[in-house]
Amino acid sequence: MISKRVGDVPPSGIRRFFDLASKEPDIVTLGVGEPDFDTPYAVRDAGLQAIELNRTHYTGNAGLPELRGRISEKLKRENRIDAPVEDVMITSGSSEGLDIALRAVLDEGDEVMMPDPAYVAYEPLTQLAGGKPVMVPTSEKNQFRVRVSDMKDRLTERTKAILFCSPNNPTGAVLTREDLEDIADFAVKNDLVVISDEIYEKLIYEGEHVSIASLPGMAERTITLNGFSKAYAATGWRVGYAVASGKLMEAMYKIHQYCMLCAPSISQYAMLKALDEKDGVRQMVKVYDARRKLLVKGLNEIPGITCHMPKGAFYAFPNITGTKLSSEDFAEKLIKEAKVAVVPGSLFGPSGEGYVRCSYSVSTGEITAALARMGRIFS
Amino acid sequence: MHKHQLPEQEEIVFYQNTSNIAMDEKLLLEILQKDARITDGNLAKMLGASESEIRQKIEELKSKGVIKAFRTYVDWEKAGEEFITAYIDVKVTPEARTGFSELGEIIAANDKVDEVVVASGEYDLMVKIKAKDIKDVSNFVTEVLAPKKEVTGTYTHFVLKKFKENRVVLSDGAKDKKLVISA
Repeated sequence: MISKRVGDVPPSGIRRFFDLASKEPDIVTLGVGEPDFDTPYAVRDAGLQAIELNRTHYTGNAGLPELRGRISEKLKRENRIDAPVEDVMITSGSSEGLDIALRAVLDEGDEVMMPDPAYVAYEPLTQLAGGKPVMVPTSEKNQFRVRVSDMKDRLTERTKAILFCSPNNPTGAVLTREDLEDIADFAVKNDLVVISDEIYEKLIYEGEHVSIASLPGMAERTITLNGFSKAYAATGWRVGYAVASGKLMEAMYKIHQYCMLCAPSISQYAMLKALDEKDGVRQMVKVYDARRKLLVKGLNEIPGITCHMPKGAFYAFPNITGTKLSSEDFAEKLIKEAKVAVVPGSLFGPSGEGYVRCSYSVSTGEITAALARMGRIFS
Repeated sequence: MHKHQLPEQEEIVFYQNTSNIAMDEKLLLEILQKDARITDGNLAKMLGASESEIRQKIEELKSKGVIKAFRTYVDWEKAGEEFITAYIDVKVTPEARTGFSELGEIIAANDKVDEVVVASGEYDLMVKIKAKDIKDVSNFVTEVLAPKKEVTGTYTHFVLKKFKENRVVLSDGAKDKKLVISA
């Protein structure tokens, strides 16, 4: 009854750990992949107002013109991407953008290079679009930054696209301008499409965010994906946006208009207010940064665990090989014995083995409690 | 050869104020406001300072009166104690307006009183009290407030239900149920 394509996609590995953790009543979780802050009040209020004013119908397929306009200005100002309103499409979360971007560019058997480890959806969504994921290993000694030299070894005539996220989930790796210039050169030379997932762009504590679409020759071959979920603590509103030009945008639009019609209207009206929340975002980043240091320094005090200082996102990615446990065994032991939930690094790709993802998108009290519990298990 | 005599340089002594400790004071206060029991060691990790700098900074903020107190916020109802909270608006006679702060301080000194503020509007002082029962509140109004010569009237509001107090959300229903683990 089920298509081979879907059948071939393995079930989510996260599910098992979710079930394990949900069984424990007194769990302290570092397993969350979303901000613990509240969506800014002004945004929530605008959402309520949108409902009261009956703004509850379809918007244009590509989204509210005002919102697209504001995003176009933002791209120019903050990302140095020159994208007219027509090149901006509002999606139902950047997740939808990712799905339609892959479907827009892939033919059966086309290969997509992606860093390993990376966000759990990259591999299955590539497969569902008929493509073949090609994992490009990254490692701690290079701060988990994906390198073009590793891509070169994996280039075939079927290579169609490069997909990456900076800052990265789960490693927190931030690509430098030089890294991105190398990737851009490689993409231009080999005529590849670049899908740049920039959902964590605001959450950078060291270094700067560079949008690859701003580099020479890249705008026409880049699909930039972004959204409001991480920067404005708005995961449940489901609003993202995709930026591309010409045929790439036309192709994505074609899929989006049939599968999604439009992103939620109420949420789109609310997000018009989000872009004004600059101070709120700055303050949130300061708090994340302090928690990042607390968690990483605390992890380094636990025997058997070492942790590099990630530069972005809200994840620490400690090396747990000193405990002689696999990522999954470590995570399971932690849930059962320490009542602390983390996510095994191996679920994000084979190079994540030996690591676990610990989110610091939780309160300082939860971070210290989790560290104390972990310390008791591994002392 | 003519030699310019440079004026003798005055030694400039910068008074080494403790506030020269380099750290994000606002962030420190925000962290402490959410979690007063966080250790100096953890604060040091978060703010990139040494533990002694953190201690010094907190002492400085205390002596400046920026940090008023470290207290535990107790839900006495859950602890099995019965309490009644009331807000009392107090009207103070216009002749005695100079005595505002004196009266405020006298009321504030009472053990039952949680808060006293001067506010604009029809009434002058707003007093929040925590009492054993209605009789206890009534005694406070008739025996503590009413006899004061400046007090010309009171208006008492009994609290029926609390949703948020001292920045703590009290109703369980308001908690967002986030996923324990998400991608």
